[in-house]
Amino acid sequence: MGATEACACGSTLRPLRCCAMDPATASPPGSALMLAPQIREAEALRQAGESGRALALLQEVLELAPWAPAALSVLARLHWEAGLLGPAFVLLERIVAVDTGHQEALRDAVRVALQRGDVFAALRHARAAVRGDPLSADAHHLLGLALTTANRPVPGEHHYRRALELAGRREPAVLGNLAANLKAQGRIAESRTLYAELRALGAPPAGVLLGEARMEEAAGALDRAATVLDEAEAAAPGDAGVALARAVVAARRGAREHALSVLDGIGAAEPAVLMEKGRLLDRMGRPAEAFAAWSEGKRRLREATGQDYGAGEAADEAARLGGFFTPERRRLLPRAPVAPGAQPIFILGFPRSGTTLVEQTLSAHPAVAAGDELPLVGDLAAMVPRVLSSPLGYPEALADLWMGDEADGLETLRDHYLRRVRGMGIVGPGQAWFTDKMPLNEWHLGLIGMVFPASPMILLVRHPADVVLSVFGNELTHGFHCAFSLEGAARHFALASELVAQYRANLALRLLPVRYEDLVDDQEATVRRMLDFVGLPFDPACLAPQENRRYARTASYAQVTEKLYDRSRYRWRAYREQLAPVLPILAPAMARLGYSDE
Amino acid sequence: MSDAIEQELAAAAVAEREGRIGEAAALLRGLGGAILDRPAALHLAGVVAARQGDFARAAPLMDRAAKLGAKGGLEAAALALVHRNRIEVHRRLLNPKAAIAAGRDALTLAPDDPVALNNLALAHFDALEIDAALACYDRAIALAPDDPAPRFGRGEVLLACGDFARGWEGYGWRFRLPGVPAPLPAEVAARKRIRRWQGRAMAGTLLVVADQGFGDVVQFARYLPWAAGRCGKLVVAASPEMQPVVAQMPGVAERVVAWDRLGDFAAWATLSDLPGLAGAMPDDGAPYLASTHEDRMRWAARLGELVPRGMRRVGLVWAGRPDHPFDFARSASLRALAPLGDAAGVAWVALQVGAAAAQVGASAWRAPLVNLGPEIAGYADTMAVLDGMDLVVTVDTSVAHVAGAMGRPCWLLLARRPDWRWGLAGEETGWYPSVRLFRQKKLGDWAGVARDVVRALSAREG
Repeated sequence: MGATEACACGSTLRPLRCCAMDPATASPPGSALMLAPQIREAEALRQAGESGRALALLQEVLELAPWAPAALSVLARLHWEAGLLGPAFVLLERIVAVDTGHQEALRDAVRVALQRGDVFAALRHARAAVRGDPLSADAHHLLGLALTTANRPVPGEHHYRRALELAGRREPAVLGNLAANLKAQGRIAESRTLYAELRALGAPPAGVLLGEARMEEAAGALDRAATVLDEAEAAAPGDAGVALARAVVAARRGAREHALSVLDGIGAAEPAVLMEKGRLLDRMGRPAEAFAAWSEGKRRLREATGQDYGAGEAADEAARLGGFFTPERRRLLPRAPVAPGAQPIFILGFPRSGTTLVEQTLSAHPAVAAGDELPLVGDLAAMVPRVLSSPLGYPEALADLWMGDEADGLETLRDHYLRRVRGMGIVGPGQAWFTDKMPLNEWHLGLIGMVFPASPMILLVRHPADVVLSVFGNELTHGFHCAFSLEGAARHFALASELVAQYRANLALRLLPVRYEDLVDDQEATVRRMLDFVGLPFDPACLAPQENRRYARTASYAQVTEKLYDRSRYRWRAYREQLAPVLPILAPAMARLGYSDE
Repeated sequence: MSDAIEQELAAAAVAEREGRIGEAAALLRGLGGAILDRPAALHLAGVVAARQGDFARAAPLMDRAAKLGAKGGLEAAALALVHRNRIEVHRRLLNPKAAIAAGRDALTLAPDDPVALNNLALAHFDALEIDAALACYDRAIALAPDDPAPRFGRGEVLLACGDFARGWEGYGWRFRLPGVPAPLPAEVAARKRIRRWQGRAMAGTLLVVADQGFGDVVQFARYLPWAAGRCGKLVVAASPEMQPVVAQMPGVAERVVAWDRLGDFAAWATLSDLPGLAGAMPDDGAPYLASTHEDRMRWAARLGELVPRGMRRVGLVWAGRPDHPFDFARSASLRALAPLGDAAGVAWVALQVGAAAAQVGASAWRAPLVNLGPEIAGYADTMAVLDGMDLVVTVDTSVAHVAGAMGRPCWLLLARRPDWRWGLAGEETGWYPSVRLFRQKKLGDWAGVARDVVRALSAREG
């Protein structure tokens, strides 16, 4: 790379003043004091909208003092405002790398990470912000936001409430997020009360009204949602988010043409708008247009977030897991005994393979609580090296279970999981089971089989092309961002499917594969099989998952509130032409799972 | 150009003859379509494919070689050889009709070829044409009295027909078959003053060598007490895997697992000699194996974790050792047995070990299928697991023998032409009263057998 070429991260700086720098060479914070006037001038130019001049000035400053936090901060903001989240995030992470307590950079990093869909980075920086300033309401607010986004609404609620307490007032922004959090926990009535409180505080901004409308939509009150969206539209005419929500509600009320015209009326379409448009067109039987909308949506998403499928990282981890859980080693590794109390039922499968439907089905049974997408198995995997005091990473660190003083490590992991579940208040009185339907938990089948050897696992199996098409048509961040491109989705499906086959070939597991197609074709027999497998008596409520009043948070929620439908079975056939490039990637999985490419 | 092809073909033929099969295949691949009008080359390609285990590829190559050869492309002797090889290739593809036709073509050209007669006898046996099979064997034996193959083959047919007296005699030729290791290593066999035991009572030490497959050992272990009663001291040499079986047999004074630990002995026999020496008829003698209490408790706990409560636990084994000469017909696959996956109220517990266990990874049966195989470390485990099953369904492998020897209920799935010990008809076997036989109605049709099992399971439930 030439000395004057810009860094690949998109910062516009030279690599030697950017990603190729060694943090050990950084000057101490404050050493760029002499450049403070130039940095102030750049900030003034930024605020005045003169981004080109601001950028040029910052490039000069950072050439001289490449670690200057104030200059990096202004440059990050410039990129952020231009929608260039990738370089903005790189620069913010650079600030906190040399100044770990830089609160402003930490909080901005959380916000940018959330916009990029990188919830793990958001959590990391939000925790650092709270650690550095435990009395900051803003830091707690952001941690609440990151936790809620990471499907951990209960601790998220804790931090929102702490933010309100520290602020000493009913801060509308926090209240709005808290209301959305309560909606996510299915506590619709409490959420509605908060939205009422926000209204009482004065005319709520469009963002809050949008949240309220989404809550009403989730509660199935579509008319009420439409009314609130009218208010939101009046508060912020032409707002893209409001228009998108209007289209969603219109589509759910059956007015698809109207929904489509609302979406078409949104000017510069954001990824979310294009994705919704694609789904509408799909439902309207216009596959070519639907696919084109999704393709464009995903393209813009990749561009805006700088994220794409982490193929190398995924393949490496899969190879390590497959290489570790051999029959010989597995026979030597211990299993945790069953702890008293409610036990998990793991609902496994690639995103969009029917896990939400199965959870709604099972949790309609009085003995089963719905845990939703619990992020805890991933936590356990990350904890393994620490819990077992191993110098190795996961999964190799599990070999430390052979050490006499670490033999009870699995019980520690089991108890951590169960304690977290108790903390979430998921399990009601009299319920012996709860579901954990985090997609791609099957990635950790070996670990689950060791920590919860007696827990039933239901593995959803669906035509790979249907799964990949549906993943492509939705916004998901699971699985190394595989949903960001069609090829990424197909490759990750193939990888996960191969890994699952390997686990199932090598390990004794209490696992029942359930075909999504069976659930649609022969619902009662399939439901009975699942209940038998768990060891539960049949309950007719399980045949009407759409009546289950629990609100499912995931992308499938609108579908599982409808009666079982077979529209989504073999839907891929209408997209044969568009899927042609990825069918060879899926061919081994199709053959293995007994699906045809016809 | 033509010379170059001939040179490549000659090189491929040498490579095949010298056992460099991969190299031969590569040379032939390099010739591409140039072999298609050369019967000898097609035959060679067929032989190479067959030696690589790819019979589906070998058959059309050899069939085309035969077709072109009959039009004058091959001399009679060479064409007869092609037909002779076609017998085995079509047998492997479970197509005895085509194999028999090939055999007839071979014998038309070379009526006195004992190898062709032997191969044709096998094809007739596959088709359960017993008289024709015996007639071929008899002619082959007359032509080549010292060849062990037709002798042994005839013995198996006779045993299958229940003619044990003549059957055991033929069965005794098995150690002379090419590729079958001698029961005693040369240095042991060279010891002075040892003799092959003929079943008469003796005062000294008798060594019995547990030969053949694990299933044979389990089946014939029942004769160890009989042998112990006819000698001063009975020593049994058996592989480590078989120790949990041999250790349970009364009268065994000593067990050895390594030849260098073997003390003096006066006479020796193989374990599979014993039924012949005893003049045995199928005789149940079972149960004579049992699991230990400790193993049973351990496996009961593990099965409690893995198998849903309230469902019938049915063990399942779908494949035997792949290097068994009859494995192509006796082993099934999970996919071929897929109708079992629709059995109601059943939790299948796969006791499959070896490479075939990996098939669980590609299954999606409606009934639960627990892959227990990877945790089964030996026959002591197998016995304890069988005690935790309501039933075991298995193809013809050692698990069937263990279940039978324990008196545990076992449904044995048999190829249309089964191994001699299961006879040619009927649902029962004199060897094991707790074993019920399910026979293919058509060679290779495992799905049909699986459907019979599902029907029987549902009848059993009622």
